[in-house]
Amino acid sequence: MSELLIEIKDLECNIDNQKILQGLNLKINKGEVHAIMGPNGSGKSTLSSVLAGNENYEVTNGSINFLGEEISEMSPEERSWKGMFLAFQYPVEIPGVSNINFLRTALNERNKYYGIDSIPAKDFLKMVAEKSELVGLNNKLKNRSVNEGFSGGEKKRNEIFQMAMLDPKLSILDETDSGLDIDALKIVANGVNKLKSSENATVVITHYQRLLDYIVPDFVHVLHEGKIIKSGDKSLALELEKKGYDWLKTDENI
Amino acid sequence: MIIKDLNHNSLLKKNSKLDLEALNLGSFPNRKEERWKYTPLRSLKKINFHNQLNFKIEHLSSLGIPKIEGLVIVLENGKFNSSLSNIIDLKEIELLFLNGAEIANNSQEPTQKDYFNNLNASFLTEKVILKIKPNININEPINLVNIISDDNCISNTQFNIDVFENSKLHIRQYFLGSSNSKDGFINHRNQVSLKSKSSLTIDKFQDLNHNFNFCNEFIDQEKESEFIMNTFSASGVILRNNVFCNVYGKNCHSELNGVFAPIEKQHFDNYTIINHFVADCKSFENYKGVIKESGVGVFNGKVIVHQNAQQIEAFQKNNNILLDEESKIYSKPELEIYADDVRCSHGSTTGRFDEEALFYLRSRGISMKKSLELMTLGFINEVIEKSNDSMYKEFLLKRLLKD
Amino acid sequence: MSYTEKELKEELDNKSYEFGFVTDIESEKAPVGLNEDIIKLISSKKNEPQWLLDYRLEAFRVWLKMTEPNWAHVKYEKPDFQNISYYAAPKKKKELQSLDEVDPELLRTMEKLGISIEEQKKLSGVAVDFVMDSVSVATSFKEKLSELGIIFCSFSEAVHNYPDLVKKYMGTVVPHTDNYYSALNSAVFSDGSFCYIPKGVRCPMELSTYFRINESGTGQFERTLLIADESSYVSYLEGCTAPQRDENQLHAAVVELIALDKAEIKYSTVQNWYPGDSKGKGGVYNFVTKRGICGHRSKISWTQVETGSAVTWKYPSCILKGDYSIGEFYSVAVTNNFQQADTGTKMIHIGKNTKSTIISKGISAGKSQNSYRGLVKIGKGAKNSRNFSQCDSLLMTDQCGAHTFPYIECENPTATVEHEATTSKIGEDQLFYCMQRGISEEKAISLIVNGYAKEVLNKLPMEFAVEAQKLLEISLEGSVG
Ligand SMILES: Nc1ncnc2c1ncn2[C@@H]1O[C@H](COP(=O)(O)OP(=O)(O)OP(=O)(O)O)[C@@H](O)[C@H]1O
Ligand SMILES: [Mg+2]
Repeated sequence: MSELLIEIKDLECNIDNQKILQGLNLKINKGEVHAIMGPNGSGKSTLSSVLAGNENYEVTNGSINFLGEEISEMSPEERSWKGMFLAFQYPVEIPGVSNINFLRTALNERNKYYGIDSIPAKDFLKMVAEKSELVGLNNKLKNRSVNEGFSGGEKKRNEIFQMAMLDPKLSILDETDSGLDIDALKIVANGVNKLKSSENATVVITHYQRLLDYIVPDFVHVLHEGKIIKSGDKSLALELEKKGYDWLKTDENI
Repeated sequence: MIIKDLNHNSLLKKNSKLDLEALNLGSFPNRKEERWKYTPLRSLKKINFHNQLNFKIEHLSSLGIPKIEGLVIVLENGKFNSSLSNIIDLKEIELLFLNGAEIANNSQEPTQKDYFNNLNASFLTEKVILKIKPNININEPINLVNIISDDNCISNTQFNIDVFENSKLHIRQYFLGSSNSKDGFINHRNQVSLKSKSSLTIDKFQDLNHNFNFCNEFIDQEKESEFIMNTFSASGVILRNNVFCNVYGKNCHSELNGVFAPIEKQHFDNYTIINHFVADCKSFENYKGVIKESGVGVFNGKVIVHQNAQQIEAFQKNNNILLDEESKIYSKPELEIYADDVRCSHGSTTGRFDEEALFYLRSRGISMKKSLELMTLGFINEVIEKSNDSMYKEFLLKRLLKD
Repeated sequence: MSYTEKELKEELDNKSYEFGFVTDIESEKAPVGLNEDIIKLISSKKNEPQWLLDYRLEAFRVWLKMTEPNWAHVKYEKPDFQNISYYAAPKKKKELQSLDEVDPELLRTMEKLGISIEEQKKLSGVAVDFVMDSVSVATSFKEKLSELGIIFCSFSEAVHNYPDLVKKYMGTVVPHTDNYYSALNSAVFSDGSFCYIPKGVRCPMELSTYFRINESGTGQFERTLLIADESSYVSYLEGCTAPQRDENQLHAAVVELIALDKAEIKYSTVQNWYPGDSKGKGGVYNFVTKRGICGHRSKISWTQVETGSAVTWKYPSCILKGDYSIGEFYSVAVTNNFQQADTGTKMIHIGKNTKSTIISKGISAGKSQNSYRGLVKIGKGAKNSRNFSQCDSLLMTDQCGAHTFPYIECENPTATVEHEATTSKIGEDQLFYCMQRGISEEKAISLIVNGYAKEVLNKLPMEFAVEAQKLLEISLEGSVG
């Protein structure tokens, strides 16, 4: 039997006193790929932010159990050390901090947490070379400031590059496909597939069936008004592509 | 190199206590004056200073600065310290040390009516004149070090730097207070003259610990000259930098950059005036304040474009980050423009770091403390990058981020 | 733009100061000079209660100890305060029951100004409190407003009819000790407007006051007090024109706005006092203290178009005391010939989550000096407050000056303050582009300047915006550098 990676129970959260997630349940086992779809504003990015520990969102109810541990009160960095990774829908620009410095700090901080020596510069650079190839990240970008002046597609590649560097247990890809050209989409999807193992899991948030041709999900969930209103296998994505969301909304929410 | 060492030690006043307010040097600055609006001098005023000029430092390394090579001129407690200095023979530079009676004979009337400038002129104990001959490009930085290591000691010193036609010089200037001294005061003056087509870069580093440091900088630029000054203020009770840059010749470049990072109730004040008297010049200012632990930062920069000084491009920027509840910033970028065909602008921002960016860093496993540090580094990086010496940069970052 | 090219041409043809005429009405004047007796005279002429006389005398004593400020970036001959008459009133001072009783000369004046009360009444729904020199002589729409409980009257009337309101609020925003000119005003103020909007009432029309300095050698010391009670709204217009005169005229007004919780006040000014002639002779000295205070979730918005006066010293300000309160300042200041303006705002953030916006557009022409001076202060308790300031200056000639003096004081780390300023010449490529399309240089300038100032002009009520645009054109006549 496959091993449980994360279990979200009755999750509710607020931002600015406005209720966004309203009782969300989701279980993900190691080795699985889940796709989350849903109309704009349904709470997909909110879910990913809450999982990653963004303090702007107030969890008002429910629990998040990650690798046997309740994490709703945990700081974002600690979640990251435990293997949580979020590829942001809108990656943030950080002027003046080079990508390289950023990543090295990230790895060293994690090592510090686990009491491991910091990674030697040589090994680090080797790893950078390897992983950036995986997503076809332009070499020049690595020395530039984090995401600053990157094109939309470059930012998305950079997210996956960071994912490769950090080797997480649970990767949440929030609309990583948007802004990517067809070739880039294949490259990124290919990268994600290569990083897949029986030890980790991936959550793919997307609006388009297209990405799911490349990253094939085991489960597809539909999020609406802060709840999962339907789950199915990959055929659900095809159905959604044809029919949209309305049939589901009326179906279940009378 | 010619060194004229004249009459050392002769005119030092022994055992005299200086009460700054009682001196007959014009009225002591107070906050009613626009120039001192944001910098109260109570803590300075109540000190009784002496100017017994002793040496206490044995090695420069004890002051936490990286090893300095090349020409090093060290003044300690207002007096030239030859054993800490490294006076190498550079035939392109004429070096002149004046003290005691010689100063009186060579002194110019202060060009600016200012209390601390008057104080400097009246109690000057060491004046160093550097003349860079024409058509010379000195690559290695020259190091000018000013140390205060004695409690309650007042040091009034001056450097005159003349860079002649077509020459280029890089100076690293250090103002340091030994960590075990307190209430010392370096009241320094730099008098800079840049002849046509000359170029001077000054990296100024201030690390005074529990002492005070005021600098009056007067820079006169002739045509096609370039002046760049990067001021890094790491510690001190009150640091005040007055920079008066007078641009008299066309096609000049003037650039003032700075990072000031007060902590623990320290008060750092940058006051600059760039005077564009003639046309076709460019000036840039970029000051970054990182303020925490009840620190106070002040930026008051003024660009004056005089009538007929057309085609001036002047750009002023001051960005500040407040890192805790008790920190304060006062920012006053000013433009005074009397010519029409100009492009002048300034911007000032104050705030905290973007929360989304902090979350992004933390979601990658970088702790809150380290994230703030990285963000701070990113924030000041633009100015630090002005230096192309990686050792020096690293040193600056270490001292400014105080990690 | 709602006025035509033809109208514009007419304006431009009329090269002399448009509103430069003198109204010929007999008036009664106090002897020149300033002392306690004069103050007692003013007070008794106006039948004031003892408390107000005491207030005046106290202010006068404070004023005597003060010195005239000189930090502003303006140079002028200091007024001789002993050579000014501090009181003037039209002689025929009997109570007016209807418009018919108003001096026909005065009515003609109003017509010339384009604000005839008749017309106003019929057309625009604007109530006009016309201040002729120091005494209010005509008010309209009073009844309509009073149905809603809105009080809109002259300050003197308010002193008699609503003493409690006046006593409660007068001097609370601009205390008599505030500055030299506010102290002077508090001692000798002649008259002005008073306005009270009751709880929850939205004032249905723009309230409008036209000020006018009319009597030769008469300093004018207006006093305006505007109170918007909880959850009310009012838009208030103040417009000024002044006759062409050779001697300097001093104007030191005080305007106090009080926006109680959830109230909103929009205060718009078009100021076009006599700026002096093209040689710098004459013109009004305008030393005004305008300030408002905001309660919880309330908002005060100042919009001003300043084209007149020889010397201006004016900083409409907001004290953002209530949490979530908002302050705005939108300004266009034009100086030409020898005019000098030192104007801007102060945004004092005290409450949490307070927000302020400053948009200032300066235009300097001729040999004038135009300065922006603005303070943004974030107090220690003003958590999460925000300010954005944009101050642009446009230079039309190589003889004028444009200056920017922002003061940013931030004592709370959760605040965000952004200030930007630019100074430049009018775009030569833009001018060329217009001219290449057959637009005359003068017209091109006015087009570009109007575009430059649009952000602010758009904040004005419609009728005012049109007037303001015309003023911009006229003010910049012959300014091509
Ligand atoms: N800071 C905020 N303040 C108020 N409401 C917010 C805030 N952030 C998000 N919301 C609201 O929360 C809801 C969910 O937003 P979320 O970004 O999670 O949607 P999404 O499913 O990711 O949409 P999309 O497909 O467009 O990316 C939206 O209605 C949004 O407006
Ligand atoms: Mg989203």
